[in-house]
Amino acid sequence: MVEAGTLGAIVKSGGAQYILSNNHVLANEDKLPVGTAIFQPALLDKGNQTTDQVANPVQDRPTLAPRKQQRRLRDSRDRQECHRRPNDPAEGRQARNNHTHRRHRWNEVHKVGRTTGYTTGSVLDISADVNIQYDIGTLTFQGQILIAPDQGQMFSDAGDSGSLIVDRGLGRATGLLFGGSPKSTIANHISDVLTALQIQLAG
Amino acid sequence: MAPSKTPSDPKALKRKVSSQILQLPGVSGIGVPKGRLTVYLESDSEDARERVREILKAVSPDSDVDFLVIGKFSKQDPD
Repeated sequence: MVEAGTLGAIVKSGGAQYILSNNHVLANEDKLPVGTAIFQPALLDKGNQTTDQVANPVQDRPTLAPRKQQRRLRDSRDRQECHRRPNDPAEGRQARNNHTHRRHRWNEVHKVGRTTGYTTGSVLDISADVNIQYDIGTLTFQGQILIAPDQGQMFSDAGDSGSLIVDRGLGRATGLLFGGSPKSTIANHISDVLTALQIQLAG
Repeated sequence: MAPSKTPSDPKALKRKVSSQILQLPGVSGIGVPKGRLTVYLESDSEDARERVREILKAVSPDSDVDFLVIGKFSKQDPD
């Protein structure tokens, strides 16, 4: 299966390092079994199967599986995927904090993604409940971050899932991008992600 | 006959109606940006707006709601 997305961050837990992205990026909505090779660059982006493997899905990853009869989730924490990262320290170069001397408003954010690269935007909502279309159906997420692009650009597009969203003023990670529309972007609160997976951002 | 409880706090109102409103066709989401109850729509649909208003009227007749056409959300995955 050939997928592509964005490696948002390197995280750590219990002395091991992992790569952080989304379930649909690294596990194709729970379809990929544990042990599947993860490549950077992705095979869709002309990665090399012989030389570019960087990780394998971990055993206890969170899933997208419906909790009840209907295919809906009510917890943002099930959106993330955390994979062991056995090698290649060069993979951590995502969403560096571009400090400038300009003063930023509290809601100004930026990210680096696989498709749209570096973009800036503004947080519209920090507690949005949203319907997201997946291959397995429509899933509902509560309490998510909604981001609008700055004028004249898109904040994100297909392939940017997994991007780490960083507050431009504070230089702190605030979200993990996982969905969007042509007019906006949806992200998990990074605090929810780190808490749910019991991990820390590395570095 | 007035409802027994009419949440005036937009956040409380959102919690009460979120699941109902998210079931409506054409609704992408619901939130409370800047303290205003806001329903995010897939397209500029008067039918969707009216259905939202009907739900809110039944729960909190005096409530106000903003609409923002924002499109349909999907995972950002290259196919």
